[in-house]
Amino acid sequence: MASAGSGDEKAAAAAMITLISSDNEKFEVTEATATLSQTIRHMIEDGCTDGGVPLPNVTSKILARVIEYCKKHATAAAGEEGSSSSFSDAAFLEVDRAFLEELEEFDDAFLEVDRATLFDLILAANYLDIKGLLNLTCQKVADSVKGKTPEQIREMYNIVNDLTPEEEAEIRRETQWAFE
Amino acid sequence: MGGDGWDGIPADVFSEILLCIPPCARRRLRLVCRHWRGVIDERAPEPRSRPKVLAFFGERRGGSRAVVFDDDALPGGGKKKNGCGARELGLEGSGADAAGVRMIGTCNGLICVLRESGGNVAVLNAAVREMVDALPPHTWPGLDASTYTFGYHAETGRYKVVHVPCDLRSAELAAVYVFTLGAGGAVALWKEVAAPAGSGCLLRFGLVTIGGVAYWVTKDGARIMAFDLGDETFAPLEWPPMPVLLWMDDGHTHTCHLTEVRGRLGLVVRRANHEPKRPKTTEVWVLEGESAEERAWVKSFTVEAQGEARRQEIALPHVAHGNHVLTTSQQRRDGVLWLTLNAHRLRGERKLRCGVARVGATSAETRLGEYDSPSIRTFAYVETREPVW
Repeated sequence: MASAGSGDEKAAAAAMITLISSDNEKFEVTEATATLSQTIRHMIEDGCTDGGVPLPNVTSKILARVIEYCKKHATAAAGEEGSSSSFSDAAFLEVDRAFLEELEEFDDAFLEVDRATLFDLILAANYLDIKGLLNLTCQKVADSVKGKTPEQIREMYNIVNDLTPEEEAEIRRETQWAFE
Repeated sequence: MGGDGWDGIPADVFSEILLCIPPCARRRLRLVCRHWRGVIDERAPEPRSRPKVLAFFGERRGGSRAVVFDDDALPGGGKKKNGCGARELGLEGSGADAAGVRMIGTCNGLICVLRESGGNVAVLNAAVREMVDALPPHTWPGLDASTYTFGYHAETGRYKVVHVPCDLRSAELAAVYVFTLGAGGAVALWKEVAAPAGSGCLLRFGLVTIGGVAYWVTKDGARIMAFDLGDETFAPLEWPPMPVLLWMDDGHTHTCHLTEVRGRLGLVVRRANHEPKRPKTTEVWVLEGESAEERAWVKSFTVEAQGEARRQEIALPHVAHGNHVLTTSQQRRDGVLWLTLNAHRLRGERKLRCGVARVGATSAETRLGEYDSPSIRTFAYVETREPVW
């Protein structure tokens, strides 16, 4: 399946980028992995990645997890492009499906982290502009609050209720909206 | 970096998270704190549609109908002719077409009815054609829809039906029964909640749920009992006293009915006046203030009808819709009684918040529709995609 496109990809994948965490740990990753981050992609395009990319907002612990995610999904992206070129027979679709299932399992396992780590991952995904990771982590937080009462959410996240009883009553009125 | 709290989360990301939550779950998150309310209002507001008038008819030959009126149909809404802007709501499956149903109430986009065959309680969303059917709460609760109320509890996001099986003669109340939508899966279960000793109620003054609390008038007619749909507890409103002496309600002096006015508890007082020259008046009182000390009954407005207009009655339980007062009138035609639903627009200084509103004679403009039906009840209705589960 060596089309012209995937050949280029191979060349690009060979280039390595060094990412430097806030606690000065260095991570060597392929360009294909690094460019899942739009922030890093722009840095590469601007040619300012020589000597490594310092990421002062991301600790080594979180960066290691982010890279783990990007590696997996970079392979997925490459795989998708490869299979969509001309090989669309049943065998390949079967492989694709198996791969997507595997990816889903990976994502589920990836999200098995404590609350603090989840929030740190969100902040890192936002800073590095990794759309897939941001969606994934935001959805996880959304799922954790959507079935909870406001009181349970306050307890979960140590939020102080600063609404006055009048404001609360007003919100309750607005919440039931079949009136004017 | 941000720790385990929301403090470090940028507003963009916060709204990203909020948008992952379905609107019906999102709206109660405004109760978490001011910051959350602010972010939701600013970045993830809920599309809100204006409520419409829903008229519910019991048919003479069995069967029931619900008609929804668009704002176009109301006077001043650009309606040109009778029947325009009105559409019948499909109540298929609820039993409305066959033996008939009795209306318990509406809440947002959901309609709660009592089936005449079997006495089951059904909650349906006519827009998405979904329905939940619950067996009666106890052996034979009767077919009195006025012993039921339907409401929404914002904190838990739960819709609940409350059955208040008050003995009509003794007015005694031993327990109420609560059915929570979506709590029991396909098998609907009623939970019995014992009422405090000596409880009783006078259901002829109405039973209404507002803001997650069900209200009814106590047995002595002196106070209002509040039943919280969230923690399912009873708490009588000791203060303020009722604005009128309900025990005078002998059917001649005046009639009173609990209702909802702009999201607050209201009391409609129809003053009987048999002198044809004097106007017939209906007072609408509203319980203002949130805390017990601040609460006060305020006379919100008085509706006066004189001359020909005296034949009209205030529609119940949905009395006022925006700047319109809803009334019903009847006329006999070919030996059959027809009911007309009317809406009167109150302009300028006659707005509902102040003073006296005069209801004029009915006209082509005020008439929403004429129906060959012995009874009409009015409700507010918002079409939603809200699931019944």
